Amino acid sequence: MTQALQAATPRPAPEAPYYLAVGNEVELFLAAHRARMPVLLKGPTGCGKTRFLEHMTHRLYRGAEAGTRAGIDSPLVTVACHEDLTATDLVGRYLLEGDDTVWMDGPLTRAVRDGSICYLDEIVEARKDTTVLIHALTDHRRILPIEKRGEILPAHPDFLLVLSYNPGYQSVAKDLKPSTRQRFVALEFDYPPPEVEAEIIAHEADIDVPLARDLAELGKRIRNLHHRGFDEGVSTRLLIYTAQLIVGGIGVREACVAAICRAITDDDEVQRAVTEVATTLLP
Amino acid sequence: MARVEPSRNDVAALTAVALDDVARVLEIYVEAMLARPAEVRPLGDLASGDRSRAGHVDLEGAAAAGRPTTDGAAFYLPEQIERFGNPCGNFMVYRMAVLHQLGGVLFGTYRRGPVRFADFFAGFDQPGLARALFARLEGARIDAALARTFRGVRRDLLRLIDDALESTPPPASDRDCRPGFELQPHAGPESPPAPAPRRRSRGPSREAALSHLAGRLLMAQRRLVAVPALPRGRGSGDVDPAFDSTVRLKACDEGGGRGAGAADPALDLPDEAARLLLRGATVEDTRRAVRSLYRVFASLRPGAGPGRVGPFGGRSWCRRSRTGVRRRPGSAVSSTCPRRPITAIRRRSGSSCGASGPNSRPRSNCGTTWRRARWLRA
Repeated sequence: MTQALQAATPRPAPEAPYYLAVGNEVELFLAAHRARMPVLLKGPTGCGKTRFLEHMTHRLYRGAEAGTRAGIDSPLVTVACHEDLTATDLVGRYLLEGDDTVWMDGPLTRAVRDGSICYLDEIVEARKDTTVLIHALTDHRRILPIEKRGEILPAHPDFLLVLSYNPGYQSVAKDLKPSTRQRFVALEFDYPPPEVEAEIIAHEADIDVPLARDLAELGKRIRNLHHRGFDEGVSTRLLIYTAQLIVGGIGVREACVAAICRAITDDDEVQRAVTEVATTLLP
Repeated sequence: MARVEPSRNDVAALTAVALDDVARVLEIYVEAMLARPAEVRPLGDLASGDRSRAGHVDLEGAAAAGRPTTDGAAFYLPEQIERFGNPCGNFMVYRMAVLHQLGGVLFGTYRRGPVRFADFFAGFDQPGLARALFARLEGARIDAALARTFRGVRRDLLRLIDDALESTPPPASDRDCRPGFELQPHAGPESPPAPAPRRRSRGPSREAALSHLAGRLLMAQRRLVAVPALPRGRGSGDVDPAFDSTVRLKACDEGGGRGAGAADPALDLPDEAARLLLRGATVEDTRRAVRSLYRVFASLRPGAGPGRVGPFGGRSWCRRSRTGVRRRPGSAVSSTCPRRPITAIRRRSGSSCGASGPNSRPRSNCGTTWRRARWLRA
């Protein structure tokens, strides 16, 4: 499982992943990194949290500001949290190898040891013991207790812990505890304004700006329906998918229906209304 | 075995779209476009004496004419539409009718101006005529703004305009209906409405002239929306360069030219009306146009019969009721068929408007036949 978790983390591309800043999130993250403060990314699905972190990782570990960090082999360790994720999965475990047992670092331990950024995506989905585990890492101690080995691992100076979660659809039972929440610098993300979103769509899908503007406008209108069965409306990611379908030769209306209308809701009437909005806005 | 051809009413029953079936879809559509919830209700729910909050729309009059309307909070639509021979087309009419009303909200019809609508219309000798002019001119402005802003609107608006032009042919002698715009003195932006000159005893009726104006506006709108859609953002701002230049309205806008149809002689449209189709026209421009054109129309002899209104009016707004129709006491009823609430848009029929319902039968004394007869007399 640990290997699977690690395999999910792609090595940053040679070029910095595209990210268009909406506010001062880049400056805030850089300042937090300098001060070794853990960061909490909050925001709806598909608004660019993960892309932002990939961009910042590249900037800090592969860009002009990398310095000695450029030698770190895996600068970003991503863990997609789920309800079966335990502290053991994060820290590591003994595995049988022939007649022996060997210790295998978990993704968190590896990041702490190497000085990478450890990104726990959707942390509230994980079991409670994982959130307690990170407490010692996210205050002045910056240590990771490895219980099974009786070891206290001090964090590498470049290590940074980043969590993300989506406050929109979490239940109270799955919300972060104040004792956890108050250890992080929180960056709040939202869907960008239409003109910025159009630029993002045009870049990501390589479509012309006018069509990207129409799609961004469509996203804005659909997000007006936040209490019609879907709290978050349509994500920037879905708008990019739509544009990519159009680039791939699918008709504008068909692309909207497939990538947006059917994806965001199962309510037939909402689907139809959203289709009509798309018909109104798109050529 | 004899082959039984389906009657027109059978086809209409299969393709008609009922408001009850699509009201929720339209409400969600409105909410998405307007960013606030809004009700969609049948025209029959309008009570006698209802007025829009802005005061510029005579809701009862709109209901009597069978036109979609809004009081700013709710959108009132016919209870059934069977304008086209397929359900998609008929639903499109609903959507465009709602969008047209939405356009009033989006493009400033309801925005508070220096003069309240009620006071504005009260300044005319015949407030009803001023309202009729306002409805036609402002409707054209809104449609042009919608077509310019939302790229998907053009094809549907073009379809509606073509249908309106086809289904309401001009009177036999269209030129006779020209109200003589060239005779009017130029009205300044803040000019008070001039007193009406002595009423002419001959010439076109007021309603025929209003219909003529609406027809010319439709023709101008058609030219606007028939331009192949260019990508937004090309050229200056968000407006297609070809959009305005095609109708050569810019000459009118920039030169301040005078005379009927200075923008394009073929349009035969007064400058004040043509300017409303340009980018940046506001409801204040519509008021100025009403002030300017009112005098000419007031000088005409009164006629009879409903006139062409726009893509959403002037068509056969058939008077018919449906079973199970929600009605409030005192809801609007047809002036021609007092017992029948005005509820549906229906395609013009050669002999009668037809009727729906299990036991209904065609009536020849209501709907389009009546209208056509009046037009022939006019």
